[in-house]
Amino acid sequence: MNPAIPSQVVALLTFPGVVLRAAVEVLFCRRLRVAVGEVCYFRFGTPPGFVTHERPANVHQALLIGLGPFFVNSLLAALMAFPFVLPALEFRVSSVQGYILAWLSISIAMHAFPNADETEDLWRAVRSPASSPRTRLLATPLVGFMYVGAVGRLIGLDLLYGLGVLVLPPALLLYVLP
Amino acid sequence: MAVAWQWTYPPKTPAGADPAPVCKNCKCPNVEEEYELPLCWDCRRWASVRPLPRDIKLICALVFIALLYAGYHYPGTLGASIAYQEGQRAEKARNFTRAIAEYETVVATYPQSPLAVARLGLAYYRGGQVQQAIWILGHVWWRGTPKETAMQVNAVFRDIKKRAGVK
Repeated sequence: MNPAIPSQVVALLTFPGVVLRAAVEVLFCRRLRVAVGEVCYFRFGTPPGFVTHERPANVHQALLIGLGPFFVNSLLAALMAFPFVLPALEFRVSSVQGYILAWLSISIAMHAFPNADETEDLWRAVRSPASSPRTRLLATPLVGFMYVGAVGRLIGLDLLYGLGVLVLPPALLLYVLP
Repeated sequence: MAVAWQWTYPPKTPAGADPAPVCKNCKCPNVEEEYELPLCWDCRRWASVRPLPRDIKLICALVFIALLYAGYHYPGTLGASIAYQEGQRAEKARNFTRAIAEYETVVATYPQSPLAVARLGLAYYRGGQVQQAIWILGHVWWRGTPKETAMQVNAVFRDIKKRAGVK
């Protein structure tokens, strides 16, 4: 987020995304039977929410735990605002509930990216000898994207991503429709 | 039950943790070896199934409700969007009866949309239903329509005035 705005304020304004990301990561750990250590769903610090867990048993588990919350958050954010952003773009109508869902959607998408430490763990897992060449080939660009997202928070890329997730799917649909 | 290990954030993963033949929590010998922490099946289950606090469950439930609410609006939104595209296609093909029907579907979903109302009014006018056109376009006269549509509406009103002999 923009360095001019304190991260605590950003975290407070976008708390549903912080909470949801940590909750989804906990659920992924539960599903994959990875022991969870400390869990913080929300705090006024950096990062605002985190989950510590043991090292996953294999690369696929590491990828699921590292990338799963990103995909879940992004998908939820895109689905949530779609029926209100599409008419806003096409018919120029807006509503209070549309604004609320847009805020929720941006909040959730903004916190889709893992933090820098989690990205580092992910990178370590992808580069480990246990990782197959195909996994490396497929996962490296994704992990690189996660790095960009994690580091880009400092210059507001998370907000840009949030807005992109909000606007791009309906805009693409309108572009595709004849 | 308390875990015998504690982590601080960021986690400093113990790469060379001593391989323990027994579960670190209950000392049971049936350890799941593929994982880093030596835990038996039951203790691993306990360690991985972290219950969500009530507040967090509430927030997740609210997000889920918001998602359901959005999902409830999907059919209407997509239906209106498709109807609008179909209406424009029908208008281009000069099939104004079809265009009116499609735009009416859009206006039924988004009656507050000046663009949809204007398109409906224009379709009425071009379809020869001048009375309805005047009635409908009167509603969008003062509202913010896109420039191109507003110009078309103005042209219709000029034409109506001209035909009625009003200056």
